Amino acid sequence: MIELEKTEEEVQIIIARPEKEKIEVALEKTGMSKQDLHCSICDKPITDIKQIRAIFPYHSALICCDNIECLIACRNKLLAESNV
Amino acid sequence: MFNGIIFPIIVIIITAILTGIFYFSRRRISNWWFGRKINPKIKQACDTYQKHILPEYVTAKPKIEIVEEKSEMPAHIPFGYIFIPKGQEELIWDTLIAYLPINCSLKRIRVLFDQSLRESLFDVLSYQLGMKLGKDEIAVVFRDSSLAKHKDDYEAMEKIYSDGKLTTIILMEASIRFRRTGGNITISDVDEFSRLVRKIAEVNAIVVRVGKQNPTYYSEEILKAGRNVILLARGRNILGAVEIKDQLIEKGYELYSPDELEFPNPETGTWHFEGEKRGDTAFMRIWLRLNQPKDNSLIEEPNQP
Repeated sequence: MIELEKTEEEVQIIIARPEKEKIEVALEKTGMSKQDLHCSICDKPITDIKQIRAIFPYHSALICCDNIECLIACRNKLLAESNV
Repeated sequence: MFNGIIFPIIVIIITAILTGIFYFSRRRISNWWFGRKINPKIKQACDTYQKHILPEYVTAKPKIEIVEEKSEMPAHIPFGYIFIPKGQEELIWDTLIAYLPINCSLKRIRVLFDQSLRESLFDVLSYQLGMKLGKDEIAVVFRDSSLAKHKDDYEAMEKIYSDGKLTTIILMEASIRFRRTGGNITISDVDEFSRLVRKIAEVNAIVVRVGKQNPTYYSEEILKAGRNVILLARGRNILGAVEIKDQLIEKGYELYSPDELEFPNPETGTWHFEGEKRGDTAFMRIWLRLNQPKDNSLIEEPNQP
């Protein structure tokens, strides 16, 4: 193994059921309102919390719906952040 | 008669107790079931990625936690939250395939790749992970989406991966450069490194790690393959690599010129190891091209009508 990799820190990913209270906690940490939820990629309004697949609390927070294309685009946005 | 009454009463009481336990523990049971469904999938994806997709290179893995109650949500901000609805645990696969590669090592060196190459690199890794997990329908979405967006770079990264050059050359080279720059990557570093990656993809060569076998063994195997070759050697095996190079040159191979490669050939440097084999080791890479036959007399002329 190369020395560089040793210094990398592990990141934490939380997996939960899409329940109102848990989503509220996730959104609170990003400073976002639970009202008027949209997918950050396709801009589709999220009317049912089951449609939320992921929330990444970076900058203005990325909310990703259950469309796989949006998951990929969301990942690309995270990749664009050098510190993510 | 007494016995005839008591038995149904006992059954009713036991049933009532069990129903009560189940009713008041239903959330706990449901959470337990959620963890039971999700945990094996996470383990399978992590193990597959570490053992088969990026072997020897995954030293940092994400800490994936299943949170069952609101009170268990971490007080600090994690990398991300993933939500999987009840009864739809299979939906975890596309999320794991998308986000596991970007959270397993490569975190710092990936900044050396320009945006298109970086996305292509992780699309290839996600595609490979999806296929290895038997989730072909998810894997192809990554491939098709990438091909639509940056076809050339996806093909370049795929070629590099399938030729075994991702870990043996690209990531090693990125690590060395990252260390050399002290982590301060400039735009010109990114441009230069990305150009190198594309060039390496262009070179249609097999990668041979020189080990303890007799150099003649490697030469014969390479001649049988009949392809351009990149010899990798470190420590005491460097002498063997030089001998293989000499044997191949006698058989019609030639060195790529440094101008073509944009770096010296042979390349020399130092690999830094950690763990049990901690220490520095000299390495050498030799890029050899199979000469095209100049004598075309053996090619049959087509019969003239």
